[in-house]
Amino acid sequence: MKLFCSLAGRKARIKMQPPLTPMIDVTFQLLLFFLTATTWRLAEGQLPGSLPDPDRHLSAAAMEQLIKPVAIHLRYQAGGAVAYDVQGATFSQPGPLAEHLAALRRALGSDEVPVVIQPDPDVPWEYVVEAYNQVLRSHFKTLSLGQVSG
Amino acid sequence: MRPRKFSSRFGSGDVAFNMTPMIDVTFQLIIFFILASQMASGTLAKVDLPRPYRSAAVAHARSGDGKVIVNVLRDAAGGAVYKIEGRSIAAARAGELGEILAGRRAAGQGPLLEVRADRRAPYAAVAPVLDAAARAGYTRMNITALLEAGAAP
Repeated sequence: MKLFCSLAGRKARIKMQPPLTPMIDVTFQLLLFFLTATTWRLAEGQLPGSLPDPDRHLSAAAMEQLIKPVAIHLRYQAGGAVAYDVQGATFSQPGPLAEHLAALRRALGSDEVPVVIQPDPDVPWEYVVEAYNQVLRSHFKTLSLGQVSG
Repeated sequence: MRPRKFSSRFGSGDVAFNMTPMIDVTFQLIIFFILASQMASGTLAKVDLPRPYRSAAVAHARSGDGKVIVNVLRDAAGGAVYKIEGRSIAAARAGELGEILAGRRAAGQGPLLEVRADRRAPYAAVAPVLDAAARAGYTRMNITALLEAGAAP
């Protein structure tokens, strides 16, 4: 690149050069700032769901006609771990829970059976999401979170 | 500022402090911090998200669908704080959160709610968000979790 240019005047030829020093200063400052200030965010995703209609009230007769849901009760165990109770079976790990739910869906012969996750109020959110995730993986279509009890 | 005189083995001359690069850098940094601080205090708070086993979470676009994002953070005392569009609300004032959600819904946002809750927050702190959203007319919700390693972002 030609850095010099000449201006032809009546009396003299003037040589000009763009000042590169401030530009390089700024470039290095910004480079250093971005290198030190960059924070890496973990990749996030979404587990889809729906919320209930608060205006929709079912009659007692309609309630009786509903399919009996599969209930997953989340409760604290001694030592701080959380147990997943599913119709008499208890799990402490998500892998066996997912296998049990998949087997249950096959035994029921339908993915329309609703699943209700009922956590105790003090159960950490990560365990609730864990149960929610395993239900989604088991391909149940209707899933709900219970209200806070107690 | 009066130029100082110095002498060396190369001779003597006047030197002046060059302010131009310093002003350049200062303005660049001011503009950057103004922009960056707005982005950081926006809708996405720094949250320790759940990391489920074989996560079924799928990546979604963050903007363009008018969804409302509610962050549930843990405070130093072990309680919870709700953060919605940069505004913090203590868990004890969950009614205020309901009013904000209803206001956003009336303004045409929603009906999709995104819940970004700290993985250690108790369920009792997250459930009121879902309850308030349902009452405010939101019909769909997404729970934010970390993607499975190796999944498409």
